[in-house]
Amino acid sequence: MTRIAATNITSPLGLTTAENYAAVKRNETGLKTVDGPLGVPGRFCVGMFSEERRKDLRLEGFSWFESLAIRSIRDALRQTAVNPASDRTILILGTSTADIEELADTPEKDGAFLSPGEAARKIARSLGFVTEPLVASNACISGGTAQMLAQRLIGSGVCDTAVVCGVDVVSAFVLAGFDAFKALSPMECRPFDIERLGLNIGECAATLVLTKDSPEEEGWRLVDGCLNNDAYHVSAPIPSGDGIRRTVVKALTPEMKDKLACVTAHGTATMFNDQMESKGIADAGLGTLPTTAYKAHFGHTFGASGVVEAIITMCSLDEGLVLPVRGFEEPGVSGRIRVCDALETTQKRAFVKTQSGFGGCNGALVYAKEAVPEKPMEKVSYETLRSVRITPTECVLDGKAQPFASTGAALISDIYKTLLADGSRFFKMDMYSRLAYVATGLLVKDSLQGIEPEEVALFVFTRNGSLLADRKHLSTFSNPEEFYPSPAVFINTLPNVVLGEIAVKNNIQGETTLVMLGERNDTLMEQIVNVSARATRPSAVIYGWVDCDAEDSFTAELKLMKITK
Amino acid sequence: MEELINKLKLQIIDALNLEGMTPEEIDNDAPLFGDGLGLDSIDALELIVILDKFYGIKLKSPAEGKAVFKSINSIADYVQKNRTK
Repeated sequence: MTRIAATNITSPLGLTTAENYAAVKRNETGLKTVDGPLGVPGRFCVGMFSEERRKDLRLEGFSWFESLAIRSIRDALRQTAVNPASDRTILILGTSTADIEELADTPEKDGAFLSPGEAARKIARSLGFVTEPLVASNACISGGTAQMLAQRLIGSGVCDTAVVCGVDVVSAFVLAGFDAFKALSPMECRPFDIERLGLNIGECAATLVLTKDSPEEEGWRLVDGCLNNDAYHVSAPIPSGDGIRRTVVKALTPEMKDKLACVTAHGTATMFNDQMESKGIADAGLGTLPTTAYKAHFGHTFGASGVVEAIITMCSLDEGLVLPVRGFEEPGVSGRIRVCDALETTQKRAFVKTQSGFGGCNGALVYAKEAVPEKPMEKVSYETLRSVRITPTECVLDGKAQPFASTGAALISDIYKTLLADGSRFFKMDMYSRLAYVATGLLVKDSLQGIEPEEVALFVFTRNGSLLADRKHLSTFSNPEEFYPSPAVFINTLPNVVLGEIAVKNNIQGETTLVMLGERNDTLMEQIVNVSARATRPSAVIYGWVDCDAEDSFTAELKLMKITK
Repeated sequence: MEELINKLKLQIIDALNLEGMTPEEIDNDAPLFGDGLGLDSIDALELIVILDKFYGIKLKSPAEGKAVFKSINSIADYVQKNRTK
């Protein structure tokens, strides 16, 4: 269990948690209809800082993304005595696209493009952190993933304090991509409503300072949580909501379930998300609790959403309130849940926050304003079942070099055609995804029999992630006369989506987590996998490094481990 | 029509990365989704981009395209009637 020592929200609604909560409570919204935001043709309803405010808040020598993160983290740290320069303090960012706008040649550009891991290093250094920062990049559940990593690192004694910052900014990159996905609402979004038309994109940085718990202290705790994959489709959630149901059930003890005041839902206001989420929440036995959601205040802030929305609920429960869902009038989902449509009062001080994202990932995190008994994190032991290494010139499986004559990109296609050929979306993937897909496919082929799908976890670490897909996506709309962003390219710009491909094909229903680092660091990778295995106790874990910086320049090195508990 | 059908097939093979497929292998009447070519929801969105990019046809959502995207023939038919470029 980890205590939440301080928080910050930096959004168009305000620069502190108090300002943001006050605005949400007054039922204000940061959403605005804008013509051609950031050069994207069309009318969009977005939760963006105005151009002038962006200029005012921009820190010298930092990109807009970095500035937003630094402002949020700095304000949260100011409220505590935490020393960022301690080797017992770590920074974890949760972001889906990080500094992607800097990859384009925009007038706003302020220096060279940095990969998410490098941007995290720059942010960490500027704030005085001395340890290597992590970047959880699990699409829309990045903020929840970052918190779970933080909790595991603190719970296992690796560090005393983890500063988690969920952050994403509105960019032409993401607007164009979601527009091609036909997922955007031209009006303010309406979570769970019959007339909902889709989501609005928003920008925000939200920070939690998480520290080792001491029972005598007051305040909010991150009690527990669960992440999983529904192994259904990379861009559509399983219609039954089973992924969400399983995370919620696993994250909650019966005692904690009785203490819940409300569910803070993802509630993106897309047809598919809200429908399946309503079923998942109802089937988890939480249909009688009020369900609230804040996307009509902030928009979908992606990596920030799992943090900012948890903080708003902490503030409302501090006052004994559950806030109504802005934009909701008439139920438009079939799961029997009670969407909060008017201000409610409550004596309870606990809630569960759900989230789901591209790549099939789901998360449920439980928070309570009380100390609860520590969850044991006993040691586990590992046995390496299989290993694989793929470079442009070799494919080594379980220590044996495989006989392929081809090299580079052709080698990956040949491995796929010869050893897998499983009718997947392989040929629609970018090089990084192909590499991860093939390497993992070789490891798990015929190796997971007898292991429950929920008992298999997958951790991929990378530096460049989807860099090649990112560049390709940009090229599909860089010319305003030829503005045709491709949904198939865009989906691959989320580096965790390939984990979804792997999960779908191999029916992996445990946690699938993508972590981006400034550079390869095997010790750190093993540490993260180890604390995660101790906290979640899967039966098998696949993990390793996958990186690709050009079509013919890549490395994948992964292992399949059996875990003895 | 024959020419349009062939062009459409090449555009689809290219945009959807249907590796190793030739236009001759795609049956004009076979379903594109499910059993036929096995396309999925992301491919449906990609088909919307093809119609916009090459033929100036703007569909709002995959739901609107459902009848259009039944087969190559149905797409060709729709394109011929509605194209603006």
